[in-house]
This record gives sequence, C-alpha cells and structure tokens, in this order.
Amino acid sequence: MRSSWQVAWKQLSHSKVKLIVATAGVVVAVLLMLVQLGFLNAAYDSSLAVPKRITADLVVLSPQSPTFATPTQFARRMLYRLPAHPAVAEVQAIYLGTGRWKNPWDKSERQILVYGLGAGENMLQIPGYTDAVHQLQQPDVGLFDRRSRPTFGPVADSLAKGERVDVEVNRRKITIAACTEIGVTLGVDGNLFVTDTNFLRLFPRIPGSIDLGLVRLKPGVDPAAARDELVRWCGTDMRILTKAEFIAFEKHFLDTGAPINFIFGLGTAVGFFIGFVIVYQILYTEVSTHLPQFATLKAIGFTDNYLLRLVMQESLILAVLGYLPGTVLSWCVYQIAARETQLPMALTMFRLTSVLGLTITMCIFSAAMAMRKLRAADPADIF
Amino acid sequence: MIHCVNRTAEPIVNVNHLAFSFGEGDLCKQILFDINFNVFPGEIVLLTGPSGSGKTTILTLVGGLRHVKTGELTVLGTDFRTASVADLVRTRRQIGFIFQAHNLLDFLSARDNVAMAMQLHPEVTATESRERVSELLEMVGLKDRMDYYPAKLSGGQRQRVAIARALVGRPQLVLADEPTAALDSHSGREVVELLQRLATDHGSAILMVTHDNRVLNVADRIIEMEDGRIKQPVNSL
Ligand SMILES: Nc1ncnc2c1ncn2[C@@H]1O[C@H](COP(=O)(O)OP(=O)(O)OP(=O)(O)O)[C@@H](O)[C@H]1O
Ligand SMILES: [Mg+2]
Repeated sequence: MRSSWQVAWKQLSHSKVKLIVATAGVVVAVLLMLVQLGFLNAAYDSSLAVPKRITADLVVLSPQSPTFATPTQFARRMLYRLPAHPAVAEVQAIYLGTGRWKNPWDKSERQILVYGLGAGENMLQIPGYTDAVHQLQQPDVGLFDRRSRPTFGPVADSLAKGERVDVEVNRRKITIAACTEIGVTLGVDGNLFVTDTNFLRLFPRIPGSIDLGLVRLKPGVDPAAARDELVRWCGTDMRILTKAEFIAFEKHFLDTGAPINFIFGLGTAVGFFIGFVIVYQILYTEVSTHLPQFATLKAIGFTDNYLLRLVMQESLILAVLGYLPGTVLSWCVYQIAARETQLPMALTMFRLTSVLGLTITMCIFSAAMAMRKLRAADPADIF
Repeated sequence: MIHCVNRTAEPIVNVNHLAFSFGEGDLCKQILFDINFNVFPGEIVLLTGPSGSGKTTILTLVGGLRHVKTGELTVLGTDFRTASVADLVRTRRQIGFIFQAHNLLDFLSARDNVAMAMQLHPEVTATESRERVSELLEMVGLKDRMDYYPAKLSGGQRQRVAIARALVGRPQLVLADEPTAALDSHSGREVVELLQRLATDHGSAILMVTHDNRVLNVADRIIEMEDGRIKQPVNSL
C-alpha cells in the first residue's frame, strides 16, 4: 500500500462484476477499432494491389475513367502514336471487362474482372502468366486468380488434383490452364487473365478500343518531364500519369469516390465511443459513490492531484486490461475475415500501436470526464 | 494514571478572537463570536454545547478545512490567516481526524485503510509503516480482523479502524467530532478510553466534540459553547 497504483487496482478490482464490465467495454472498443481499421486498410491495400504490379513508367487512361477498374474505353491508335516520340521505348494496351462467371459446381453466376494482356512480355506483372503463355494462347483458355472469393468454386483445388476445369464466362466455355495469386478488392470478387485475342472473343466491342495503356520510357528519361511533353503532344484526349501519380489517382478515388473512409472511420469512432461511455460510466459511479470517502482523504492531507491520479491510473489499468484480450480477439477476427473475404488483413505493428494509443486516449478522456465530479468532494462538509 | 499536560510549553492550538460567518452580503450569518482558547501538548479538551452552537465549525477551522477570515488561529505553528492551500494540506497531515461517520474506503481492508494514511508519510520506511499499522490495529483490538473489509465489521469496529487511521501517522493533534455518537454506550466508552490511552502514550493533544455525558471525566478541560460563544471555561482536575 505504498503507491496509488495499488489503491487504484484495489478500487477497480473490489467488485469483480464492475471490473469485468469495464474491461469488456474496452475489449469491445479495441476489437471494433482494430477490425474497422483492418478493413479500411485492407480496402486500400487490396485496391492498390494491381496498380502496384505495374512496371511501366507511365500509365494512360481515358479522362472519363474514375479508376482503372471501371474504365471508359479509348482508341488504341492514340496510344500507338506515342512510340513516335523519342522518349518512349514501347507501349502496351490492356483490356478490362467485367464478365459473368458461371460456377460449374453449383451453377451460380458471379461477376469477374477479366484482364486482356499481350502474349509477350507484360508491363503488368502477373505471376505465372508468362509460364502459361503457350496454353493461354490457345482459344478460350484463362489464368484464374486463386485468391478470388470461394464462391467461384474450388478451381485451384481441382487443378491441383490434376482435374480439368471448364467454366463458362459470358456464355463461352473457358478452360482454366493455371492459377495465379493477385487478390480481390471490396468491389472486385475475382480476377481472370486471358490474352487480348481471347479477351476480344469474350467481349465483342468496337474494334480498336482499349481500357488502359502502359508506356515504358527509354532509359534515363525522367518520367515527369516525359509526361509533361506527351501531354502537350497529345492534348487532353488521354490522361497520362506517371506510375506514382497513377497510384495517387487510385488512392484519391478511394478517398472520394467510395464511402469506405466514412464507413470504416465511423465504425472506428463508434468503437471509441462505446469504450469511452462504458469506462466513463464505471469511473463516474466509482467517484460519485465514494465522494464522502474521497473528501475524507482530502481532509487528512491527500491532495487533489493524488485523487486525480488515482482515477487516471484506474483508467490506464482498464486500458491495458482491455487492450490485450482485445488484440487477441481481433487477431482471430482477422484470420476469419481474411479467409472469408480473401482481403489482405494484416495486424501490423503500426496499427497495433495506433489502436493502443487510441485506447489510452479513450480511457484518459473517460477519466477526465469522471474526475470533474471530484471537485464536489469538499473536505469541510464531512465533519 | 499519570497524565501529564505541559501548560508551560507553546500551545499546539492557539485561538484568538476568532469569529466566523457563513455566506456573503445579505445572506451572511455569523456563527462564531470572539472565540479564545488554547490546547497544550498532551491535553484532552472536550467541546460541548447545544446543537447548532458552532462546535463542528470550530473543528473545521482548527483542522484547516475552512479559511479563517476574522481573528487569529495558529495550529502546530502554522498561522492559518496567511497559510496557503499547500500549507494547510501540510498541516493537516500532522493532524489526526476522527469523523462521526467513519468514511472508510469500502474497497480496502482494515489494514489497507490504515496503511493508506501512511502514504502521507513517505519519510517512514515501508517496514516500519507496516509494523505501525499492525501495532495500531492491535491496540484498537482488531488483531483478528485486520484483513476484514469495512462491510464485514460492526459500527464500533469500523470506528476503531478510523481511529487507527487517524493515529497511525503519530499526529500531535487529534480532532474528533462526536466519535461515540454512532456507538452503543459500551463501545463508546471503549473508544474514548482508547483515545485517552493513545494520547497519554504518544503525547498527542485531543480536541473532541461530544454530547456524551458519560465521557466527560476523561477531559483535562471542558469548553462549553452556546450560540457561537464560549460560555465559561470549567477546569476539571
Ligand atoms: N456550510 C454551512 N453553510 C451555512 N451555514 C452552516 C453551514 N454549516 C453549518 N452552518 C450553520 O452554522 C451553525 C453551527 O453549525 P455547527 O455544525 O458548527 O453546529 P454544532 O455545534 O456542530 O451542532 P451539532 O451539535 O448539531 O453538530 C448552525 O446554525 C448551522 O446551521
Ligand atoms: Mg456538529
């Protein structure tokens, strides 16, 4: 009993029910904050996974495309003008389309994002694509993303067992030659990669229109300077971005075009608020039911600071008590969520420390509010 | 019992022309008028008088729980007219308070309630303070109840824990407000005798408010109050 920490702990732990309720409040808050932030980050990480696989120096889009995943088509010939410029080494056209995949096992239909790539070297790195390119060049053959949602059927498992997998995409029979690993996003449930020839069989369209252009510059050329020059050269019919700008462009779309920031931010705030209210309620009741005793402590020579510290220490004890089981539970939720959604859910050190900071802040806020009641403890009134 | 009061020493409490009123302006109501008395080291002084005569108010002033506005009040060498809040807190740590309501912390055992007061005396080592806590609880007859929580103690036992808490810091002055009011006559008598014994052993002075006629004989001096004034000092010896 030499330190106020011991007193704080004894006050908190005297009623086990109260201690459990308060701790549970913090656990729920930690869980909500970690899970919501996890989803928010997963949404960003997953949406940027494909853009980060681009090895080109410049990316070309239609000015009407809000994001590469829902593109507006533009004329291939505009992209093919670029190699005439001395800074440009080569260009590549990419086709994108949302196809209807019929799961051959349960006959359900899903939307799948289909990429049409070149048969040669690609400036979009898709693991396993080059190895399978001979098969992919056959008519109606595709490379399936094994990280697509499970609703597409056990494609990877069947292939691993040596079975032949034929599916239907846009009412055409497609044979899956192999699997790659890319990952899905909140908006895209699955990915399929085919050659441009096969793509045009699946998606009949106005000849010569493409969705995305990739540009490799000659060695030593500064991408930003080349971008400026090409923009001046081509006008505003195409949006030309450096790779870094393209990633920023996609991020900006997520920030503004999709309400994920708001939804998951709100979820995090709700977690914070629930924890705040529960801890505040518990501490407030502790303070107000002990006012005469606290006034007595003041009378016999304890300072206001001592009592404030006591309440603060109680809130910090709750923060730590709730944080540890909260992170363990969150880890479990991350595992389940990653399995169910195929989103990249990683409990990073950065997120763990941010949420610890948020939890401590939450508890300190609760304590600060509960303490206001302490001023009502007047030692002159207890005689 | 030899009870020694040193009236030649400096008084521990010196009250001079003390007046006090509650409220301000039109609502101002004077409660104490021209109070004069001293308390010497080791002395037991009782404060009696009808309800509302201002006894508790005197105790709160002497205990540094209210600010002195008119008159002089010096307690344990601190002039309360000029003392800062920090000075008052420091002086209060040298005073043992016994309240009518024991106000023990329900989440601490008897031992911890007493030990907590030792946090105000960091100069005492942990070992010594543990010894003192046990010793005092033994003296107040709670040897077998040290680890009981207040909820499991009787009213008299709780009051005795409160007395142990007031005395564990070896205060030079003990202020007690009707410490026997909540007790039956037997435990009341015990508590007062206990206080008397502790005063003798440690040489603490005691200023105690009481209505209880049965305890008047422990006093070195009785101060009778009426309508905010001291009626007339009666010496009992
Ligand atoms: N906080 C206060 N504000 C205003 N008036 C007060 C306050 N406390 C006490 N009084 C008044 O001061 C007077 C003296 O009160 P005090 O408590 O000192 O009396 P007492 O002698 O202790 O009485 P009792 O024997 O009933 O405890 C009473 O008339 C009371 O109404
Ligand atoms: Mg009174």
